[in-house]
Amino acid sequence: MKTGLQFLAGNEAVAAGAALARPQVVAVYPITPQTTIVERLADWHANGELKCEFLHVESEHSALSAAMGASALGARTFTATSSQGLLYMCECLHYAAGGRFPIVMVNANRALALPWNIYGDQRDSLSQLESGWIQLYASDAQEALDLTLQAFRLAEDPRVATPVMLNVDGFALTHTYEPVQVPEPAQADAFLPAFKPAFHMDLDAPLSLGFSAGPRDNTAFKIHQHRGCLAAESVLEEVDAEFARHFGRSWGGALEPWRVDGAEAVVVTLGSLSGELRGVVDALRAEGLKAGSLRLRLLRPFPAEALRRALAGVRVAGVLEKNVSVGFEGTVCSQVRAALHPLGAAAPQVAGFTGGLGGRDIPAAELRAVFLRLLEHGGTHDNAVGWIDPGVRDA
Amino acid sequence: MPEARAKIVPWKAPQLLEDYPAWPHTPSGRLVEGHAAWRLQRPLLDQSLCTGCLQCYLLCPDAALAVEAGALAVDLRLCKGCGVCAKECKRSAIQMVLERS
Repeated sequence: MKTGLQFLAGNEAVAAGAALARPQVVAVYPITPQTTIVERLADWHANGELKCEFLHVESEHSALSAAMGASALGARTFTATSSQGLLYMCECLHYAAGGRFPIVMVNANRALALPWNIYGDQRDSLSQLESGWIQLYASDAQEALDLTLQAFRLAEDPRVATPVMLNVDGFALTHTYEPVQVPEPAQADAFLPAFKPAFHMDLDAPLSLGFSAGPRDNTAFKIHQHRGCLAAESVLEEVDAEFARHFGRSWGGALEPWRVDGAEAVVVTLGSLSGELRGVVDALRAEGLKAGSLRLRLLRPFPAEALRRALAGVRVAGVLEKNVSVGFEGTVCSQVRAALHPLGAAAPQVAGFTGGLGGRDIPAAELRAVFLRLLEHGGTHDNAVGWIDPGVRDA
Repeated sequence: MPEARAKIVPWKAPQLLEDYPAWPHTPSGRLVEGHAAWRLQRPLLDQSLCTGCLQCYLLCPDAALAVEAGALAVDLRLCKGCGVCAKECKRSAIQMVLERS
């Protein structure tokens, strides 16, 4: 692995971050567009640069099952998947979160079948918001690398003890080459020391893990789990501040606001689309229009209070996601509406937009049109989905 | 087969949240309740054929087998009568017999 300033695709940046974290066990199954993460890690394992148990499992269900077993032994554990692979893991996702195993997994966001599609959208991870995993969304390759390192600190923090799913947009981020600073291993080691598990399987002090908890005891474990996940929002800020001390780069916490101060219309989004959105905001501001954008970096725990603070005083918020909850509206839009609801009459109006499904491009002109629509018409009074440039129209 | 008796550490439900482990784990050796009520057949050991290889002990899915005073023993509060021990015994030292017999 080459360190210093490198020209890397998002997946290569993720692989570098994962290798620098010195996982003791990597259990992965390849799937487009995550495959090049697995390939890079396998290269480094083969040439001796990455010293770990590298498990070539037969499925994603097995990948996460093996990761849980390794984590139960007290090993730092990494895996990665995408789309159908994430869905195949679904049973294990809940299991790992309930077991409080601090596994780090990178998910390359990709469309779900049917119709079959290998390109990027966010329906895979957003369908798993209820799985109990912390969900982070990166916007570029550098952030993907840095968040991979930060994710281990976050997951392994005893106040959190929750697995982390770091999401990177398929192709738009996973396969786009960018300049990336790859830290020196000694630098990464100083930021991320070896994992000290709070408990682990041990022949000298045997533990029962994965037990039943009936109606009397079940809720207690869920309250603990809920509070552990909630704690991740402030711990992420601590971890990022610590990261800044070591590397001189900072990403902030759950939200990344862009020119939200004084904005009348703010578009809330997640992932790599936020870069294009910032450019559109800048262009509109130059024309005197009060536009702003807000990127959600954290979807679980959901930063509801931070969102209320960030959007207080904004007239209208548009929520733009590469996802739709078929039969209702965008899932992220629902979450934003629910978070803003306690503001009552002072809450911004909200309108939901869905675009980029199955990898369809979202041109800057369409983002501009979203802002103009918000400024002119405000929010919607129903849960109608605003389809961004679907490429077809009704008769 | 002689009967073993696993040590039972009764589970007392905590009243305070902080008394529950934050992660679902507990020191091993607790048996909250027996769970063998549906057993239809039980293992019967022929001591003269048993070599003490302990293959059955290793493979028993319910940890119902134990070695007590040098001899293989079964805890019938744990045995569900699945027959894995009898199937795996290379000397056919274990036979499954119907509970009613």
